[in-house]
Amino acid sequence: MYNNIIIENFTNPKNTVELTEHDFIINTGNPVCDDKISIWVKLEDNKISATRQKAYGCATSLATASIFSEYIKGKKIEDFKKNNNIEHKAIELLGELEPSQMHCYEIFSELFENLTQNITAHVL
Amino acid sequence: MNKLTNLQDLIFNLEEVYNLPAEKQNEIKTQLIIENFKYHYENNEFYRNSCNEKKINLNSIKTFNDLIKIPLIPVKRFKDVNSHLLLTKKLHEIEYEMRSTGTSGIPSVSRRDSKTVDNALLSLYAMYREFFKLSSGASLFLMPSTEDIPEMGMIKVLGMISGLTDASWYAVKGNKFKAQEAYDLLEKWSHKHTRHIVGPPFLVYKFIQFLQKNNLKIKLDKGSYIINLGGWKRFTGEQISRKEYNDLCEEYLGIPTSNVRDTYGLVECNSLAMECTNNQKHISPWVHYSVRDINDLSQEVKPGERGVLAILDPISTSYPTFILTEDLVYLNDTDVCNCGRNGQVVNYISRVRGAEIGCCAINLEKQMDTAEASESAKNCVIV
Repeated sequence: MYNNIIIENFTNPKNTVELTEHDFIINTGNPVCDDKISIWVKLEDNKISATRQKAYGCATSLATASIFSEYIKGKKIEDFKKNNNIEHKAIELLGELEPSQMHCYEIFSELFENLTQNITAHVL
Repeated sequence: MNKLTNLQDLIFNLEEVYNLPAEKQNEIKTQLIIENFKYHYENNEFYRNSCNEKKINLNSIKTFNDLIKIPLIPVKRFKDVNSHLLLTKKLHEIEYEMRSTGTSGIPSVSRRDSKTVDNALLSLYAMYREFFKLSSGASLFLMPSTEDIPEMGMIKVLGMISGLTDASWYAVKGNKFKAQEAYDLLEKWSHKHTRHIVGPPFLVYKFIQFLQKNNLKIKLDKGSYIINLGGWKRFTGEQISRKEYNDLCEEYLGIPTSNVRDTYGLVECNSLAMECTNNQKHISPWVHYSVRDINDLSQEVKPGERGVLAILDPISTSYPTFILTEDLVYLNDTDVCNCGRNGQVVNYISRVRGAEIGCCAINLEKQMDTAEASESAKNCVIV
């Protein structure tokens, strides 16, 4: 039911430690299964220097929060000006999902869109 | 009745098990709970560490009187971001996730492996068969379908009834309650099927209000049931009175109180307590309800006295279902019911003070109310 990427990130979630400082928080969720994801973002030296994630919901959405927080960490601000082909990236990073888990591809894309908007507002 | 040694034996001989004296039932379920405790203790590091902190090990739990010592997992732990620690099975063995969401919007997610799903489905169907003997008829579900909300515990568990009847229809679509269509369908099914109404009390109540408003009454059939799950509290805080509800069901749906049956259960557990013809909620005989002193949770109160419910459910292999709920209940002070069944009977009182008011039904009502308010706002003409 779960691919190895999801199993690893659900069992050993990344970026769970509270940040002492952050610039903004992005939130998203899925009303059908009540997934809720929050990502804390710290910007420094024109890049994302630190992230923290907190997620509630199905195992795949918890893993998605972990994967997303890891993916954006270290990303340069200028990278957000480019076309990131994020739908493709979501499939690549989350791996093959079952139909009932595929809403997490959308969650990943929504998080990225939300992040881009926040970065635009803060820096660009 | 000489081989009631495992769970499947109990499930497939439920009627006979309920007829056994309570002491015998306790003896049987004690063995199952001890075996299940041993399994989780040996295979779940997080749980074993919790036990060790309380100085409980496999030698500590040997008899029925020892069950009170089994360490309990507070039910809110299932909402934690690191609830994966509760799992005895690895995620790749998990087959199904089920959830319940209260007013906080944070879901409680319980994860079941294949064996737990087998056990839970078999035991729930066994209970439905034992208390309702359904194998035909038509079910009007006053709730959304599992297609609309696939992981909500209440909907999944009540929806199983559709597999026991010949026709079924779900009266909540896109967060809207289709009361007129529900009424029309009950009329259409008249003289063709024994009609049952299934859903949370607030939606049955809403349906009755629709009938009242439109001066309509229905006379359901001799073997019809109203089967409820989801509690009597509304998200507004209002409590639906059971007595008033029963009277309204009799007046507007033509169904006697003896066939208005409430059920009680938690998404995190694998069984439902179901009402008999005397409206007494019987616990599945393999499950143990232990009612704890609200001031000292390590102590049980006497039957008949109110306390916090702890549930010891030996069905699960995916996580230890030894759960301290946030519900205030009391057990009947007799193990014998006039319906002929023996064993524990639970009476729900309320949530404990300070606990989140919430369950699937309350969340559903909130969603429907929000959708209705948004629709009204859209249709509002500014003058």
